Amino acid sequence: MPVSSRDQRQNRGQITLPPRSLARKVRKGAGLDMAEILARVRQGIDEMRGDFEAEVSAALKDIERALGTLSQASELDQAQHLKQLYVRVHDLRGQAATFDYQLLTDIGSLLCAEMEKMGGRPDLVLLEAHVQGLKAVAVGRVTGDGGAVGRELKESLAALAVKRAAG
Amino acid sequence: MARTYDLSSLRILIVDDSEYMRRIVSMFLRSMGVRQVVAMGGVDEAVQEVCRRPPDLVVTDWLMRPKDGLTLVNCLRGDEDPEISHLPIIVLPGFTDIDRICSARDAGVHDVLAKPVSAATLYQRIVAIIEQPRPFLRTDSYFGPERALGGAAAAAPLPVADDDAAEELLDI
Repeated sequence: MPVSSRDQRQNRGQITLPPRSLARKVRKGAGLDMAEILARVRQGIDEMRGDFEAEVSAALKDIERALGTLSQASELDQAQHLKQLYVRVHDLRGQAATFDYQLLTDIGSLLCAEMEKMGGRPDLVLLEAHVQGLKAVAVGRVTGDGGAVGRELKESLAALAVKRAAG
Repeated sequence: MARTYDLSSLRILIVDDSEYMRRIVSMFLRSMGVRQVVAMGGVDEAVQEVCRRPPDLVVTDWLMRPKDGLTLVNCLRGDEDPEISHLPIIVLPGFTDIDRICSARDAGVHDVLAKPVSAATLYQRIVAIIEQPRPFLRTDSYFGPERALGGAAAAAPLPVADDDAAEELLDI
């Protein structure tokens, strides 16, 4: 593999070139333009939309189950159960905006941020409030950012987080 | 007008422990014209697949169980075969905080696109890897694509969470 002596001389480490180049495998000036790609993606999303609603429903059941398990766990096990809850919420928030459920992504992000702050000591009241928020959005099929209601919901969750943090 | 590329010959490996995310990213890539998309749900099987037949590009989640994206990147970057150790890697993590994005970048990946990420942005980053292939830098503490003149520690544009583009684009 080619190795440059330039950086060796300058004692900055060793430079190597990748043995394979993607440019050699693609044809420039051919293929789809962005408008065509996005049209195909939109079609793909429309085809997956029904599956996504089933996915949200399954995810929320998992999240509620994880929350239930967490609430009954011993202090020793709480961190592990909190991590499981985090992973499920993290997945849901990553997917939701694709299907125009931005508010689910937003509340999921708030919940993940709160869980990160909790460390191994979960605040069950705060977790429950966020999970109920996610459920409300999913059951009501609130798409987009939810407008004024969405803002109010996020603000109330943020206010609750501040209040709980203050003790 | 942006240049177009025929990506049909590329073989791209997706690694994500969420089956649904694998489907979404796979759909994105196929919509770009990529014909060979291989999706794996775990790090061990992804590493096996890479060793069996190295793809042209790896697109991976970061927070996975039981092994995470960092483990995958370390395995690939540490491989003796230069075809594997120099693979382009794009990470699609769920987090957006700058510390963790930097730690993913510092593991030696080409790009970090925090979810929700748009199909358009993913395409642009793949095109950037095609158009601007980067040499790799090995130091005592880093092995991965060189980010800027001056080496790994040099200031470089940070990977961008794509929230701003979400309004007009389709998001993961």
